Amino acid sequence: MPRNHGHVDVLELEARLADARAQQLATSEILRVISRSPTDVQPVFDAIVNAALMLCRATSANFFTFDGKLIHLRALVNTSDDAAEALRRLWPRPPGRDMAATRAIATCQPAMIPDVLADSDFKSSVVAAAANFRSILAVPLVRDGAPIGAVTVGRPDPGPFPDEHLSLLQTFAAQAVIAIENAHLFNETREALEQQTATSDILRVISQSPTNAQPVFDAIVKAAMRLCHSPSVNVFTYDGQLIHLCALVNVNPDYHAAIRSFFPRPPGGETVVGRVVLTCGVVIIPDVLEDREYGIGKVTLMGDFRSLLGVPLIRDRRPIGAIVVGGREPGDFPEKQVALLQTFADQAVIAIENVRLFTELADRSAALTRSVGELKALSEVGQAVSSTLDLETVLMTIVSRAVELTGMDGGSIFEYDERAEEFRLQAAENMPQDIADDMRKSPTRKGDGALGRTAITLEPTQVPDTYDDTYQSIRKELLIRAGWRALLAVPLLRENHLLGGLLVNRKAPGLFPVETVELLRAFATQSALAIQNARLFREIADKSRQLETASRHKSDFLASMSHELRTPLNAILGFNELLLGEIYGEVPKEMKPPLEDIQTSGRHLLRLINNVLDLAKIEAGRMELALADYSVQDLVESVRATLRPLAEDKGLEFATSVPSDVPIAYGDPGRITQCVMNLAGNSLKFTKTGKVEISVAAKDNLLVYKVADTGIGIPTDKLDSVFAEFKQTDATISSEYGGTGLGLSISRKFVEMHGGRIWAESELGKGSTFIFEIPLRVSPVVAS
Amino acid sequence: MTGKTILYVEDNEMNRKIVRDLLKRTTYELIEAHDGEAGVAIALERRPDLILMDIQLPKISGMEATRRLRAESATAKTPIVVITSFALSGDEQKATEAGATAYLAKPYSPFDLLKLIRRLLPEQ
Repeated sequence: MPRNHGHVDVLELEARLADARAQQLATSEILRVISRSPTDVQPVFDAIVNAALMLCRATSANFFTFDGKLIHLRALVNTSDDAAEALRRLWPRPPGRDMAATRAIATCQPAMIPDVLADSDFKSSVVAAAANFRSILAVPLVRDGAPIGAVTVGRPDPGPFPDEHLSLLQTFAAQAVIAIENAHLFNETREALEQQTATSDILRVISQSPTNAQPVFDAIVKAAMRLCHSPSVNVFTYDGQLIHLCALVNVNPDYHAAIRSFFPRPPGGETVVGRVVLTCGVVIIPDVLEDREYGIGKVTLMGDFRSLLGVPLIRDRRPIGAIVVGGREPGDFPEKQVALLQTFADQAVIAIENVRLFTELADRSAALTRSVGELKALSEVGQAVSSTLDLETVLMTIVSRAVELTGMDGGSIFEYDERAEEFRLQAAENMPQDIADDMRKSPTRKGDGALGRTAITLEPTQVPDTYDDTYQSIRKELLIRAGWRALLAVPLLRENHLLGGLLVNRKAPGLFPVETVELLRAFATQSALAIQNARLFREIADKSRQLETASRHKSDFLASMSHELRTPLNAILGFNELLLGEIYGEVPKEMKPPLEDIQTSGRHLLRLINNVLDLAKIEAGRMELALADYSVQDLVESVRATLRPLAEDKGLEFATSVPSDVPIAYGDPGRITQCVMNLAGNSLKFTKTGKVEISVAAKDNLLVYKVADTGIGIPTDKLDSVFAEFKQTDATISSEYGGTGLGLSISRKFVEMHGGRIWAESELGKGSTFIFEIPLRVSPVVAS
Repeated sequence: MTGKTILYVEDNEMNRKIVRDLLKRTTYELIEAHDGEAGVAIALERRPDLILMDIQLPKISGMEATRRLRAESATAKTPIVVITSFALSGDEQKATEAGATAYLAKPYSPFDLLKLIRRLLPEQ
């Protein structure tokens, strides 16, 4: 084996080995850089150009990225700064044939120019000279079959590049693609994470601020600014008429004041938000300087933006606002930003809707609470009005509830004296003593102050400020001293008739809300009712007192008159009896019948007078029962003994029936005798033939007295009225049968005084039965 | 011949005359008083054998006069007939409570009164 060959071989092998080791080192170095900076591709690009320069023994190495339209120079290594500067000036540029990199990207294939001076398409030989290369090799970075960049190496000598250099650059290109992909993925992930974080932050703000959308708007503008890298973000709301600026961030503080002065304004083409509202869709202005319609004065120039993106806030398919984001450079906005802003827009809508619902709910529940309070107070007042006729109590209840419910500092109720044309204080809540004294001493005249004016207008009258010159009252100074700044007087009306006034006062000046006025009207209605009730009650009490007095006078008159009538009647009957008894000598035969007629008529007159006296006493409430034990048998027997002659005279059967086991009863035997006597007397009177029977039965704790006859009977519809005073069923009856018409009425009263009842059963032409039942033993309480 | 003495306390002349006429044919001696106070005074002075006392009298009522007479030993046991103003009015009970021996309700028959007097105070 020749040693030389071997030596050469060894040297060559050693050189190759060194190259391979260098390549390995370089690629592993690049991989290390990739793994060290997953988010930033620049160190990777730098490492690649340095490694390529060294391993290809090149004088120049460049790295480019392609954004789909232009190719950007991203990294370069070169010997001189001038050359680097010249090189930078060439980029960015579109793909083409004029350079190795543009060629590689245009064809998506490696492009080699063995001699730039010999290549007719190569246009930058001056730069190439400055950068010190004659030959150049470009390898594209390819992802998913599309070029995304290129890496180039240049050498000072013309000639083709060896295959090792091509494959080396291809390795570097592949590594760069991985690095870019990594960074891309990483950034995408980070961006998504940032957006998620931002939206969840905003959601948190929404949940923390259910009553106010402002913090949500503030959070949205900040997040949008950060995530879109925007110099300017605004949030607007639209109320159907005007657009309002709600939140903004802008890098230029002067812009804030300037833009604020332009809102609110109606929607129009001069603003992005106006266009958003009008179209209810996303609006993009790629360059505000190019858009003729756009612009409000010079404000736009202060905002530090060239392009604008507006996204609508939509509820129920109607625009309710917009988010507007500015872009520093002219141009379109990426889809992702639009989507992000739409998410923010949805969140803003949720926040607005939340606040609306919350406010509505709060309003409703406040209204509900208020109505419940009103209902409760009014029902209390209603109860007071209906449960007591004590006017002062009712009015005190009304005024204190009214003051409490309307949140006034005090209140008072007055009764209006129509004749004197003045208001008299009836009840007051929280009224200083000196005012109360003054109001009592000199009642408010019709026309004076708030209260007095209601007497003229019959409408609620307000004094928003007692300090005001338009407020005129004799008590002005006094009320001002007491701190009454605002007054509200509501008239108490009943059928358009002024009964009084309800006055409330407040320390704070200002008009009274409509609800307060309406509420006080309700209280005024109740007060009017109470006053009217009290007046009616007073009238009724007066009338009934007068009636009572008149009735007592009548009863007294009847009682004394019947007594006065009876005294001479006693004498007439007494002397007549002495005459008939022949005390004064023998009475001629023919004189006896007229003397007896005098006796009969006199006794009838006496009974009549006695009955009138009884009724008068009962009506005057001066009839008392003389309660005692009595024998029912004895009582009925005494009636039978008294009436038997009458029955015998008329040829009537007259029977009594009292079972021997009827016990001793307790009651007023005199009155019960009178009752039985009246009933039996009537029966005998109204019966021409047949029978009259008195019967008594004890049933449980009741005594049932019955007087039955076979007389003329009573029509069914008159059965009740026979017990009324001076009622006989027919005027002709009294003329035929006589009688006072008071017997049954008195009997009923006596029975009722015993706690019993009396009624009649009858069949016309066949007879009547009068029945009364009373307790066997009358309770003294009932009797009194 | 002095008969038994009856005092009739009554303010009405007509009523007194009836009793006066009624007793004319009897042996009873009638003395009269016109009001309650006089009735008590005369009763204590003359010590009648029986007293007819009307219930409605000037000055003091027949009821009060009866009560006073019952309180005096001289007249504690003298029969007193109270003449109530109106039958069935409850006066009977009050009269009995006041100390009346018997009562007679107006309007009474003069002959019934005579019967009652004779029962309480036989003529001879």
